[in-house]
Amino acid sequence: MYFNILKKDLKRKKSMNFILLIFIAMAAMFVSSSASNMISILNATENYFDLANLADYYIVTAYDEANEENIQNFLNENEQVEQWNVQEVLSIPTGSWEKADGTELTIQNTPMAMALDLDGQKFFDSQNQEITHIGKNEIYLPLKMMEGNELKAGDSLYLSKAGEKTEFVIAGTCKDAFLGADMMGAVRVLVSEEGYETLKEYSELPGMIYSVNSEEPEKLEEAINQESFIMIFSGSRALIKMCYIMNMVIAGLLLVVSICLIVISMVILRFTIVFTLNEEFREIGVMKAIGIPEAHIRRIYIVKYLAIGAVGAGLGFLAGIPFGNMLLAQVSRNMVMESSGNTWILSLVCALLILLVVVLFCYRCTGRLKRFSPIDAIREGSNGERFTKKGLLKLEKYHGSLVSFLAFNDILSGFRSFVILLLIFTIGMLLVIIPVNTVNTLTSDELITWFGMKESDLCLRNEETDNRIIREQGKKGISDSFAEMEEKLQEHGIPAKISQEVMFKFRVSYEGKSHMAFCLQGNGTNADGYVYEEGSAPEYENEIAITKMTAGYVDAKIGDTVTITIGEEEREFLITAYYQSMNNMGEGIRFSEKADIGYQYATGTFARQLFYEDNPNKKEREARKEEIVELFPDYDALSSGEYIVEMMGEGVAGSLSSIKQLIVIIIMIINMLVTILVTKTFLNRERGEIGMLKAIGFDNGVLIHWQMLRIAIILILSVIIGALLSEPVAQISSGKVFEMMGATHIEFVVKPLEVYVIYPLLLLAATLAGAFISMQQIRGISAQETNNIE
Amino acid sequence: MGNVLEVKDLCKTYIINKRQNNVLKNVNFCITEGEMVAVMGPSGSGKSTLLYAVSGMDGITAGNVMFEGKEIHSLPQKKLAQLRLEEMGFVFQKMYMLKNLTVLDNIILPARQSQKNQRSRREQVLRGQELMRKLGIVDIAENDINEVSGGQLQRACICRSMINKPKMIFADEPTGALNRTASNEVMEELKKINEEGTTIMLVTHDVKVAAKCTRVMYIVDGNIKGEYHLDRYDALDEKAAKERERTLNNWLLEMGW
Repeated sequence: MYFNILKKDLKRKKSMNFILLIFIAMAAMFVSSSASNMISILNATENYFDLANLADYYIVTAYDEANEENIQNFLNENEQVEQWNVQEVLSIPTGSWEKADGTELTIQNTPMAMALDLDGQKFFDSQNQEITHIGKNEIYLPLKMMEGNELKAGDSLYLSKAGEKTEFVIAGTCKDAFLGADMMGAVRVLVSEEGYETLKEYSELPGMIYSVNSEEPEKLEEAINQESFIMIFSGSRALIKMCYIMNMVIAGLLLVVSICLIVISMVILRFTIVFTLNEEFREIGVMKAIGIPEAHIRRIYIVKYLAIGAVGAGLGFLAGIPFGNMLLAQVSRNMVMESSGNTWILSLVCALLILLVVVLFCYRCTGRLKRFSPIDAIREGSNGERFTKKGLLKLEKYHGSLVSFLAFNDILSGFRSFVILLLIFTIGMLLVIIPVNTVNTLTSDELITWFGMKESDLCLRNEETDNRIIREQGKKGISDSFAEMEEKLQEHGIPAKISQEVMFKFRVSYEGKSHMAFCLQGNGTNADGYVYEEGSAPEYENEIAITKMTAGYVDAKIGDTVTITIGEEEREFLITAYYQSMNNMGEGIRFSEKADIGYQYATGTFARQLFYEDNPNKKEREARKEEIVELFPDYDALSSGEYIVEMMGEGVAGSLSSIKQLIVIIIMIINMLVTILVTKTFLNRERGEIGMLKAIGFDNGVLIHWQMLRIAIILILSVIIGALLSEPVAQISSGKVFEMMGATHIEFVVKPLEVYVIYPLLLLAATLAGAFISMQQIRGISAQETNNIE
Repeated sequence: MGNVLEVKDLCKTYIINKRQNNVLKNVNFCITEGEMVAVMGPSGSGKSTLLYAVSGMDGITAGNVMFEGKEIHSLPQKKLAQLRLEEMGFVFQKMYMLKNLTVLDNIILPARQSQKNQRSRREQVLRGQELMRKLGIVDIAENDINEVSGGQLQRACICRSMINKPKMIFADEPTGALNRTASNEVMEELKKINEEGTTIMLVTHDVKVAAKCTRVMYIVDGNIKGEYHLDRYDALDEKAAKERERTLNNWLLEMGW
């Protein structure tokens, strides 16, 4: 008999049972895909480094015989070094690379070419397969070179010098664990041994990459800091890992999305089960009235939900694997991030877990059976004991339209029914607002000040040329070059000042502690024009500003006098201010422009920064930019925002933008689905009332309008709540990432039109489309449905 | 007086499990302005289907239903809804009202939607209160619908059906869920409304209710088997009223009741 009751139930309540099935499948899909993603993401970089056989510490140098000897002696003698290895690389000037059509490649930094060494670090292709062989004239390029120049495997690439050309065929993308991160300035290309010999004809700039294995890389770093090696880069796995922070931002975002999807699934699941069970009061009352024991009734419902749950979890399990892979693909573009081998087992466990949750929800909810008495069946849900006032608004006093009254009154009177929608819409809104604000902040012009620089009108980038001028002509040479540039601009009616940040790496010491610090000095500008968090700008030649992180390494604070070793000379500097910087993950010292720092110690420069002196309007600025591009064809003209995005790695903004779009699409689909399913659930409950309203003369248009307005009000409410919560939630989510990168004071860039108008309208459109689809059911409700009223 | 409702060759067929079920078969009748007509018949004879079909709540398979000279089933959905809202009133066996509204709000709900009289908000409330006063339920105006008795609620439903001053009220077993006293009260109110000029068509199983009408139509298997005309019920003493019910009952027995 129970089987017959169940069969009839499944047949008769097709609509509600189908809704439940969909929700269970969605929950199983989200949970199984999210769980496997979490495991893949949480240990992603470590797994990748292990897979790539990455050493514990790396040193990169421009080849100098004496320097190399010093380093190698140090590595041989230092007790922290277990084993070391060195490999030669060649820096190939950016101007030497050409595409098949003769155009030069756009490359931010001079690429380093290396011959594949199977005993050293492992490299992977785009399919995550280890690269074990490279043909004689083949070349593997990193993703940022490929994407930045719209290259693909099979394309030809030419190296040219003095009229000679050598062709290389691109074999594919190589994933380089050491230098592949978006925030790593250097890039590496891979060639064969024979190819490397050919490359030697195009470069006279050899370099060395030392890979060192050490049990305690921190102690090794301390020891290296005490030496005076000339290094382009030195850092441990931990630092390299930090350079993948942008991948982790995206991964973290996915993690948040996954967690939110799980929360949404669970909330919806509980709502649907409680709702469907509440709809059964009449049947339960009748069964009780005819004497069926409670335990037996409970069994019927548990079997029913078990059956629906099993089908739903099965469907979710099948859909979860491709869905999870689709999400993961966004993170693993430049690293090997594979789902662990047992993904499907984990997904299966998650699907079974959902089944268990369904049964447990059902078990818990059927505890309410005691509340459903035979009287419920007889009196159709009303036992006459409910005397609470429900309506909060009064139509007699309401000034708005009838439809808006009905919508507002429903929400205010039965707010609990709408909490689920509000919660889901708000989570969705936050999931949209936070990445949008993060992307906008990362691509804003203001971000340049987070890197300890001034916000300028234009950045002119040709670091290779500027570094050469500094190397060969020193401070005077670069200052003369600025003056020339300013003069040329003036001649063309563009009054502007040029300045540039010059980078150094010096040892800073204080009370027995020392640290190799990243230092900056502005050339052509004053130190008081920067943003400082505390204290005053370094005014005199013996004053510096310092980041809190660098100050922390030597336990110094504002007012302390630290020693900085510049070449052979030890000089004392007074700390006058703290500033924030995301350079080198928060490291930094800023010298006053008056300090005489020898440019022979410069390790590089940022782009030249151009400041207009006559405050032109937007149109004029655009025209000037075009003119400047023509005047200085060797320089790339970029806005502050564009320059910073390139510096952090263009892929980051691109990936974030694509993940932002993915999230918006997912949220739109979720909003639409949840709206369809929840409104269908509401319609099932309200068929009687709708039937009655139709009977007394309300047409379909009015009724659809009423139902849709309720959903729109909830969505607008969620936009307001989402907007209010976005700042604190962003601070504890993506803000933490910025903090890890060295920022201490984060102000997100909010574009109100985008965040509060365009995206909410997109979500509103999707939600209302969902509501409109399910509301078409209203047309099928006849006036006679009044018989179903409760 | 002219006809408010004219029904010609009305047929209604349901297809259930591929089986054709002719619920109404060539039904013909007219209802004149000011009449109060009861439809009686055994369960499943098609009484409620007839009421829903002639009031435009349900579609028809064939035939014509003219309301005030307009063929209602050829009207577009929106026009038909407007007609029901403004020219027809409905009372159901169960006291259907929106749960989240007070009794008064439920009553004035159709007035707020109607464009017929374009009354101000205040006039609508006053009209609602006046109707409630007339039906003796003004005290429950601000109550929640769960706080009032079935009889009071049914009278509130009658007030709602009257709010837009309809030409005709359709009532489907209006006393079916009420006890005898409440049933009498509700019928008294409907009778008063009828006396004031509103035409009424109601479906009932109760001879006492039908005896208060001016005409009774007896329907069997989707056909009107017979009609019984009664005088107006005005000012009858208890004995005369009983006699009227007895006569009607005898006729119904003849019909196969």
